[in-house]
Amino acid sequence: MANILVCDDDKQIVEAIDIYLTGEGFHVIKAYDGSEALQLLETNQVDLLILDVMMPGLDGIRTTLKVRETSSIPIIILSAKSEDADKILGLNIGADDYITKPFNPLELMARVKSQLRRYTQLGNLNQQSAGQVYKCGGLLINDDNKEVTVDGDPIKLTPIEYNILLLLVKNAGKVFSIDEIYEQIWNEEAIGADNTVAVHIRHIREKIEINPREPRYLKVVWGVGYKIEKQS
Amino acid sequence: MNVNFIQLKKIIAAALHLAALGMVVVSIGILYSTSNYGRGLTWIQSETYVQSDLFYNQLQSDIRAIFDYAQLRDAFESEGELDMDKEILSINYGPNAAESYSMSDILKLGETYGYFIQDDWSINVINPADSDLQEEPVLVEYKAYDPDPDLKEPGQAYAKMKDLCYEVLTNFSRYCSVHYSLVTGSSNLTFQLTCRNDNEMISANEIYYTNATDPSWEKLKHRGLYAEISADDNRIDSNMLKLPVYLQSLASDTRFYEQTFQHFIISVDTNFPNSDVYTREAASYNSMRSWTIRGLVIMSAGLLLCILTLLYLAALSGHDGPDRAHIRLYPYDRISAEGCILMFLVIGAFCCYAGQVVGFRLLHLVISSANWYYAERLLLYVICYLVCLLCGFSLLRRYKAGRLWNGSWTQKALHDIHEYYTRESTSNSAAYSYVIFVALNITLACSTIYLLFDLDSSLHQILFGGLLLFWIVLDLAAFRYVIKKALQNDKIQQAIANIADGDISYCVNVDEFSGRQKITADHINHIGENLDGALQEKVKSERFKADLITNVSHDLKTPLTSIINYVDLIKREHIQNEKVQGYLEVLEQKSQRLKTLTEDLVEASKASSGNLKLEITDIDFVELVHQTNGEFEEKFAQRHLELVSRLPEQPILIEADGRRLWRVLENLYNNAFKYAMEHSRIYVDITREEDMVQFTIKNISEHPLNISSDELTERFVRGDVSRTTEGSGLGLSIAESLTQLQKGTFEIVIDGDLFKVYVKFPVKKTPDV
Repeated sequence: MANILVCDDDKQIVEAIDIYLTGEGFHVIKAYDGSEALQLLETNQVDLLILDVMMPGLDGIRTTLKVRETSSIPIIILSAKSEDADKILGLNIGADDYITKPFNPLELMARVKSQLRRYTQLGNLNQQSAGQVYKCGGLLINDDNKEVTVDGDPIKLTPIEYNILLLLVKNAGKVFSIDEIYEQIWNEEAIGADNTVAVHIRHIREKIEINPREPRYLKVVWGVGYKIEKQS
Repeated sequence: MNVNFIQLKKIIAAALHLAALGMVVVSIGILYSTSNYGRGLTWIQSETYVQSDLFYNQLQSDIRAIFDYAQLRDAFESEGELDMDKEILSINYGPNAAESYSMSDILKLGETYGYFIQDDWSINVINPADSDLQEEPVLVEYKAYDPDPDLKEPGQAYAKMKDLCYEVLTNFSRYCSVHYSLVTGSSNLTFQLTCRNDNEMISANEIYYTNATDPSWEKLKHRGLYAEISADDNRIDSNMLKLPVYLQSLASDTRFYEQTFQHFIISVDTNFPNSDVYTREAASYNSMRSWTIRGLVIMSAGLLLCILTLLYLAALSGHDGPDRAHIRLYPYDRISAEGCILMFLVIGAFCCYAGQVVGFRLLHLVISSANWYYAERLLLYVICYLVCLLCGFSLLRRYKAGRLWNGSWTQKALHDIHEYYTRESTSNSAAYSYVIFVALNITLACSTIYLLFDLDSSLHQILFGGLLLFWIVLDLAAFRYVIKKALQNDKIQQAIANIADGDISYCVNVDEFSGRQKITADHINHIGENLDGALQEKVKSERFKADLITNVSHDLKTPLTSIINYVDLIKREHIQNEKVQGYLEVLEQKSQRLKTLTEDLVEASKASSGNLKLEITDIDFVELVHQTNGEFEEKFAQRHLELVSRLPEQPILIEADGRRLWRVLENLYNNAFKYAMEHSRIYVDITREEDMVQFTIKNISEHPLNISSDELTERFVRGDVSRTTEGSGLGLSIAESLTQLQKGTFEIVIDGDLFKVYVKFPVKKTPDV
């Protein structure tokens, strides 16, 4: 099973994460500050790094920068800092995900698994891309058999949900207003459109996103419309 | 010891000063008494008498006298002796009635007119009133001293007897002064005047006028100083420092009766072996010169000492110890400066009077009457100087103690005027100023007009010009003053307007103002500063509060993480105990609430302090409400709430930050979700009123709303007083702050159990096609 390095100066948090990850069958290596994490990274085969930001000595941001000099393993930052600026900083310097404390253990497990799947399955993704396959980060849509997977997990969608998602993924990055989506999917003129589209979008989000309140793929552009974030 | 030492120094310096003053007074006395007064000081350069102008002047007068003597000798002498009976004057009183006068006759006649020959051969005129007597002119037949008169017109031959008598006596006195002092008396001066004889009746070729016993020219030259002139070349040969240049004109112009000028030599024995006028003058000159030099030296030394001791005393004055800052003032130093000057003026006047009464008499006892005038003046000067000295030192001590200006009457008067002017109300002082200005103008106008009608004298013209110029300058100055004040008032008004408009950091330059305006400007700056300071302080404290809350929430989150995680871990143990299950529920619920609370706390503090970065874009408000509806429709269904929305079909664009506006609506919907009565309806409307768009959400509250709408937006105030349900109580507060940050208005209306919220935003102005 995968080796996961957990680094936080709060021992109880490390212990709790250890219990959850071990329960999921991962092997956990524990570190209590940045420089210790860097040492353990050198001596152990590590598949994923969970890192706190505010730590004595070498903090999470600088540790991430150091790790990124030599390694491309997934890094999940786990921080009490919940400001937008903090999240943007963390993601910009090379972290793959940013979870704010206090976190939901289940969400953390889901994100860990998601990162690991993407990391390990990155190689055989290209082989599957034959045929009508649309991909956006970990989100894959196979239009031939109408299959949708997120980080390898199959997702069950209704036909309307599927069509809406397909429309957005095909035009990744483009913002669709409610009226545009309605006209495209129902092939009717949107007169006095109600909340139908918004409700469908919410359903899709709940199915494909780990945390629907902080979506990774299907983003709400408030007051304008919806879009799928363009990802590499 | 120090005090005594300084006192001693002062006494010594004062004594020295008085001594020096005495020296100056004595030296001035010496200089006056040497009778060189009025001659300047250049004479002192000549070291000996023979080099001086005194000698030169004496020599000149002697030479003139010798030439006169040469002309007169034959008129008064017979056979080389003075002949008193020789005919001097002949008067023609008519045909065959001539009368001749001898010298003795003339002397007697002169006495009848009041002319007396004195011992030094000068003429003393007594009782000159007789000259008023009418006297007929007489015809002069012959004058021994002028045998061949050059008469241009007949009238010149007539003369009054009195004038003739005076003329003869004058010539006689000139002859005698040379004859008795130079020729027959012993003299240091030797002369020889040689003339050629033109009268064939006399056998001698050359006639000598001399007092030399041995008429050898060369010998005369070696006796000392000499001057020689010959008719041949009319050139002066002399070893004197200054050539007697007038000798040339004398030699060439003097007419001799039946004789022609040949040669003249004069020599002075500089050893002065004989007692005569030269000897006396040389002696007096030498003593005078030495006394003058002594006087000058004493005066210079005295003055120098005076100045030095004065400076030293000035430096010492007021100090009585090593502490330079401490100035000791005498009792009379404490009255005002003007009072002190006045007091010393009175003292000075009294001393001068006393000096005149007492001092002058004492002076008269010891000083000869010729010098009284100078001595009296000197005494008065000394008295004045001493009084001024005391007054000056008193003022100096005041100056050192910093009391010269402070405490003076002028300062007090100026201060009172200034105080009155500033204390008086603006209108009053303006009125007084105007009255004074008008009075001055009228006075000036009257005087110039008066002078205009009387412009004859140059004094009036000058006065007229001066007054006119003063008038113009005064009015221009007044105009400038008024304009200056008006400009300053304008600036003050502008500053107040700026501050009123919210530019509280606005500052006026106080240096540009004067008088009342300066005070006002100063006050304005203080108002601005204080307001600015208060605002800065407020912003700072808000930011500090936001930072504090953020940091505290960060610190809270870490232990909270552990609590939530370990509660979850306990739950996973599937403990069968019912009670423990119940406790775990409470723990989980409360820890979740704590989580929301910490997050909302940060957001609320940031929103209310404006410490947020907004990303303002164009937003369709209708679309946003649709999206929000979509998010909440199913959530509302959980509590059987029906969402009824009436939204316009056309998009309404506003300028806002989409995510923050979503937070506003999310909080409002959540609020409705939490507090609306189950099975009721929630109404959401968007209406447009001209350039404002209004969002309304209405719901029926489950609990009675027994608090005011204002209180609802206050932080931590929630509709239910029990506070049992989830939520931080910050939702409405956050919504209000965020709305206001995006330039919107937020209003809560409570009508019984009906709960209404109005959110208004300005519609983005789209250019109409």
